[in-house]
Amino acid sequence: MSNMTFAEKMINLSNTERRSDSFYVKFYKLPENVSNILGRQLKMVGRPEINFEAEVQRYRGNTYKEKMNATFEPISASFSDDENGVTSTLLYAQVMRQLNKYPDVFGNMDAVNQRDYKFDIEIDYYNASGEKTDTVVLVNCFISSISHGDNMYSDDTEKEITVTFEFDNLDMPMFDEVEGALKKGAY
Amino acid sequence: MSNALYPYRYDAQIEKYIQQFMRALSGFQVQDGVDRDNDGSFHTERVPVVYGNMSRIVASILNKRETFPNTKLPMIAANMTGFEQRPEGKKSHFHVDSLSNAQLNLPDGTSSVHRIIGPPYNLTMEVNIYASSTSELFAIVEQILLVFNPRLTIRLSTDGYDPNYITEIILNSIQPEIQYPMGTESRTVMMGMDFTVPVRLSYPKGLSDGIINEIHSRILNDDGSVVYEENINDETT
Repeated sequence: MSNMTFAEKMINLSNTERRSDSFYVKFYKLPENVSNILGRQLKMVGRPEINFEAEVQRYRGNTYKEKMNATFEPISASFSDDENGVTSTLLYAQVMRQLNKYPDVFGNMDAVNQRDYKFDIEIDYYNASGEKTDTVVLVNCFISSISHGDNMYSDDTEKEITVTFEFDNLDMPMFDEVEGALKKGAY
Repeated sequence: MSNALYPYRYDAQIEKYIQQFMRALSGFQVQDGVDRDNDGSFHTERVPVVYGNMSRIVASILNKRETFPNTKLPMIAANMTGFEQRPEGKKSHFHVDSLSNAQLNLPDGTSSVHRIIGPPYNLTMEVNIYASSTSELFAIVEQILLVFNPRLTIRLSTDGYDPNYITEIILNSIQPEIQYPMGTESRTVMMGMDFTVPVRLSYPKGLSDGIINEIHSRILNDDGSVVYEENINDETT
């Protein structure tokens, strides 16, 4: 599967709308099998939300608005809970890393060795023919909440785990490629 | 027009699911109401399970056109009535499961198995119980209802590589019905049941070629800032 270049995207502006299920999530800086299982169990993920706070200044009857810093809202993802509890175990292992109860993926545990429990999440968006069109990378994520559905005898539906991820920053690698085009004002 | 063919991938998966379903129903018994040899114990016999639409099975029993007709009752007939997509079980079709032989404790610890996750479906099965009397019918139904508490889990395979090794049979509804088939005067004592079996079709394992299509290279500084980042794509695909 190849990335679509900016020029290809513009030429192939198609009438086929993007479907909600044309995405794939990868987890970086976690053990490989953990990334693989989490990527497989993921059912839903939100698209990162970017907000600019506006500061209002008034001067002689006029209003001026200033864009302040960008803030990123935490994103929510849901995983299907598997029968053997592997998914929840892996997520709680990550919580234990955050609590410094468990070494990180590089085997570091103490402050001297720069314990790094944060991980990255890459969300790839695909077009109808399976080519990658957009990518966002949530940098330095950690888990800010995990919630499970209620255990209930009267309900026999499949269970899912809803997890909220906080992150420091957002990478948009697609703009690396179009940097030249941006300078020329192509979009 | 393309002359290319789709790869022939057939592993009798639907048949296997139906067979396992029928096997799960094939252990029920009926008891003889008369102590024929006066030993205080009653003879019990397994209720056979056949595949097919109940009206066809009833017709074949009533017609007695076979050389050795099986006119013995009771009988359970299972029939597939639907095969619907199960969206809540969908997984990413861009995902490739990667399992190393080391994880599976197999001797060749260096290689790994790749597999793509197949599409999820709900198999809906209709089961009809055809009995010789109402009390016999209730005896079979009661046994079935006690087994489905609340679901029956069936094992589909013993292969360590198979992620679909178990599934469940869910009993949805029960419909008592009395039919008077054409050409007969006596009624048939029957009860219908609807079951759902969530199934997932699977692709042959090792389907992924294992060729790396993309290398995401990222080097970070001590303070977490990115020193070097590159996406190396395989341009041949």
